[in-house]
Amino acid sequence: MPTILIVDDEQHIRLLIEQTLEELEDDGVEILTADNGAEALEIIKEARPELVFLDVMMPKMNGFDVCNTVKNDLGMKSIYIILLTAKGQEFDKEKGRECGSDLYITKPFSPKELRNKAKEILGLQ
Amino acid sequence: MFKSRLFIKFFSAIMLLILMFTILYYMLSVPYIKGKVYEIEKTNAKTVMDNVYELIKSSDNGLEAYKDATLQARKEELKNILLIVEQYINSVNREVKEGVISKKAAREKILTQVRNFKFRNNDYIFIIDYNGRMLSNPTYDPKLQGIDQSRLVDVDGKHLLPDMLEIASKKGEGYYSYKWRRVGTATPIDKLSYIKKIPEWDWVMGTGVYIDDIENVVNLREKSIIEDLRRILKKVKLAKTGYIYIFDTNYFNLIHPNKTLENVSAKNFLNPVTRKPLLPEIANVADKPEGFKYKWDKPNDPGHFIYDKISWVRFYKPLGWYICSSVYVDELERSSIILRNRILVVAFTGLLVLIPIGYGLSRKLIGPLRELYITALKVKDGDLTAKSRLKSNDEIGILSDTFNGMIERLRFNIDTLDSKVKERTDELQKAYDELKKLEEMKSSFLSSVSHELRTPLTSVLGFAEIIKESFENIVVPAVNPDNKKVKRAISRISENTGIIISEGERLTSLINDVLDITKMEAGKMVWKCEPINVKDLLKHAARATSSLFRKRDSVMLIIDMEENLPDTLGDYDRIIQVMINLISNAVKFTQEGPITLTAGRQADFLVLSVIDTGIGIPLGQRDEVFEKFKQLGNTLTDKPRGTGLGLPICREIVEHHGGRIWVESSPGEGSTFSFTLPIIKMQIAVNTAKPAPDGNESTGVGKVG
Repeated sequence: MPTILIVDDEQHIRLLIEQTLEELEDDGVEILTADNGAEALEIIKEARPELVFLDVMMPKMNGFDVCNTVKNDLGMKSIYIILLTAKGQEFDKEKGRECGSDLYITKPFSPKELRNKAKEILGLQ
Repeated sequence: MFKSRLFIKFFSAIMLLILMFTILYYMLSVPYIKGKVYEIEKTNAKTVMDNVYELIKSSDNGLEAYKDATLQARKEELKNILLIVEQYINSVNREVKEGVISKKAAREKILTQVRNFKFRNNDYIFIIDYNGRMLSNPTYDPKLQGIDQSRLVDVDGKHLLPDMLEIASKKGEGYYSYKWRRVGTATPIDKLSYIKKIPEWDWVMGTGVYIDDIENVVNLREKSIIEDLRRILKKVKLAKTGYIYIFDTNYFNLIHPNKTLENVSAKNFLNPVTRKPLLPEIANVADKPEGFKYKWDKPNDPGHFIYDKISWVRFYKPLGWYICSSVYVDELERSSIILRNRILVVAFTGLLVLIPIGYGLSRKLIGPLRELYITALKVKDGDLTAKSRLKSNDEIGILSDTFNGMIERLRFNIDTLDSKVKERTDELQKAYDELKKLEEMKSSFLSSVSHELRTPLTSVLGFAEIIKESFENIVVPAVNPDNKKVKRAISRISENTGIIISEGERLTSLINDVLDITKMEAGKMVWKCEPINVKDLLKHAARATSSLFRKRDSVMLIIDMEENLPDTLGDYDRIIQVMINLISNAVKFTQEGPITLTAGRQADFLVLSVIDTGIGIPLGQRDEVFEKFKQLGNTLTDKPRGTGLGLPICREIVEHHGGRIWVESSPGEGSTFSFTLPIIKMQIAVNTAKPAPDGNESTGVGKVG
C-alpha cells in the first residue's frame, strides 16, 4: 500500500494537502502527516513512504536538512520528495539539488495540479 | 648632466655670450689696433728718417762750425805770423835807429829774411810797396821781384794788389779772399790773405792760406761722418727689413745698406711699373708726407717686382742729399697681423679656458635645480618623504629649504586630510552599513512578509479551489435544481468562489511582483547567463500564455520572426517573464483581433515586439506605463486589472541586459511594445540548466536540478 507523508508546520496547509489527496485513499493510499522535520524523519524511517510533500521553512529541522538526511545519509533514494516552498518565486535550485529532492512546488499551489502530480508519481492514473 | 635641457640651454647661452664677446672684442679692437699699429709703424719709419735727417743736419752743422773754426784759427795764425814779422821788422828798425845797420842794409835784411820765412805747407809772406810793386814773394820768379804788380789779376779778373793796398791804407790791416794757384798746381783755388801796413817802410805785407787746406781737413771729417752714418744706418731697421739710404743730387748712392748699391750711380734704376728712372721719381716726393709707393722685389724673392714699397724722402739741401726710407708695406702691417694673431690666440685660449668654467658654472647652477626637480618628481609620484639635500646660504639654498618646508607642510596637510577622510569615511561606512542593514532588513522583511502572506494565501486559495471542486462535483449534482432559490445560490456560490480564487491569484502575483522589483532594485536579484535562442523563446512564451487565448476565441496569437536570427546570452527565465508579461497585457487590452509576436535584428541588437490591436495608449501616458504602480486610466474610477508592476519589472529586466524597452501606440488602433537585447556571442559554453520544458510557470511547479 503506497504511503504519502505530508510535512508542514502549518496545520492549515497540512489539512489542505490532506483534503486534496483524500480521494487517493480510495485507491488504497495511506496519508501520514508530520508538523516538524524531526518527526517527519522518524516517520520516514518507520513507514518508508513512497512520496513526501516536504515544507522547507520549518522549526527544529528544515526541509533541506530532512531531505538531505533521507536521500544522502539514509540512502533512501527511492523516496520521491517534493519540496514545498514559499521562498519567493525563484526557488534555490542549487540547494534543492544538493539535498537530493526530486521536484519543487511553490506556495500557493493549485490543489488539483498537486493531486495530479501525486497520482502521476504513484502511478494511479 | 648633458641630458638636462636647462643645462644645455644655459651652457649654450654662456658659450654664445663668450663667443659674442670674443667676436665683439676682436671686431672692435683688431681693425682699430691694425690701423693704429700701421700708423705707429709708419710714424716710426718717418721718425727714424727724421732723426737721421736731424743727425745729418747736426753733423753737417758741426762740420760747418769746424770749418769756420779752422778758418778762424788760420786767420789768427796769419795775424800772429804777421805780428811776429812786424816785431822782427820793428827790431831791425830799432837797429837802424840805433845806427847799428844802415837803412839800406836793413831793408835788404828784412826782405831777405821775410823771403826765406816759410811756415806750414810752404806758405809764405809777401811784401809790396804802396805802388803795388812786389818786393818779396818766394813763389815768384826772382825776376818778378821789385816789379810793378799792380796789374796782377786773379782767375776772376780781380785786380788783387790795388784791392789789398786799399784795405791796408784804409784799415791798416784786413783779410782779403781771392782765387790763386798753389805752387806747382794749375787749378786756382780759394785763398785768404791777411794784409798789414808797415808804415815805416811804406810797405804792405801779407800772407795767405789756401782754403782747400781747410777743406781737406773738413773733407776728411766729412768722410768719417759718412762712415759713421753708414755704420748707424746699417743698424737702422724700419719695420722688419726696411732701411734708409742716401743718394745725392746726381742720383749717386752715398749710403746704402746693400754694399753693391753703395757708392754707385743709381741713375739708371728703372721703376718696374712705369719703366722710368726710379730715383728722380723718388726725389720728386721729397719732404711730402704721403711718400712714394712703388713695386719692388724682396731679398728672399729676387727678380719679382710685385711687393709694395713705400718711401719717404727728405732732402737735405746743404749737402744735396736725399735721405730715403724704403719699407715694405706688408711689413708695416706685420705688427698688426702679429697683434691680431695674438688676440686670436688669446681669444681662443680664453674660449678653451671658459668652456670648462662655463660647464662648471652651469653645473653649479643647474645641479641644484636638478636635485630640486628630482625631488619634485618624487613628490609628484607620491613620495612625500622626499627631501632636497641641498645646503647653501644662497638663494638656491633658501629655495631648497622652502621647498622642503612645502613638502613638509604638504605631508602634514595630507596626513591631516587622510585622518579627516578616514574619519569621514568611517562615518560614511557606518551610515552605509546602517543603510545596508536597513536595506537588508527591508529585504528580509519583504521576504518574510511574502512568506507569511503566502502561507495564509495558500490556504485561502487551496481551500477555495477544493470547495469549488467539491461543490461543483458533489454538492450541485445532489441538490434539486428545480428550486429557484437553490439554483440561484448554487450559481452565486460558484461565481463567488471563482472570484475568491482569481483575486487570490492576483494577490499572489502582486506579492511576486513586489518581491521581484524589490530584489531587482536592491541589486539582490541573482541573474543567470545562459544561451537564448529566439525561436525557443517565442515558442516558450506562446505556450506559457496559451491558456489566456484558450479563454478568448476572438483573440489569436501570430508569430512572425526573421530567419537565421543569432542566439544571444541572458537570463532566459527573466526574458520569458518579459514576453509573458507583454503578451498578458496585450490580451488584457485587446477585445478582438490578432496579437503578433515579431523578432528581428537591428545592427547588434535583437528586437522583439508584441503588437496588439487593442485600445492603445494616449501619447502623454506612454512613458508613464513603465513607472511603478502607474496603470492606464484613473485608478480611482477604473478598476486596475493588474499589479501595476509588470512593465516596471520588464524595464528592469531589459535594461539589466543592456537593452531598451519602449511603446508605440495610436489610441484605438493598438500598441506595439518592443524591447531590444544586445547580441552577445557565446564565447564560453554556458551549460546552465533550463527549467524543464514541461514546467508550468504559472503554477510554480519545477523540476529540481
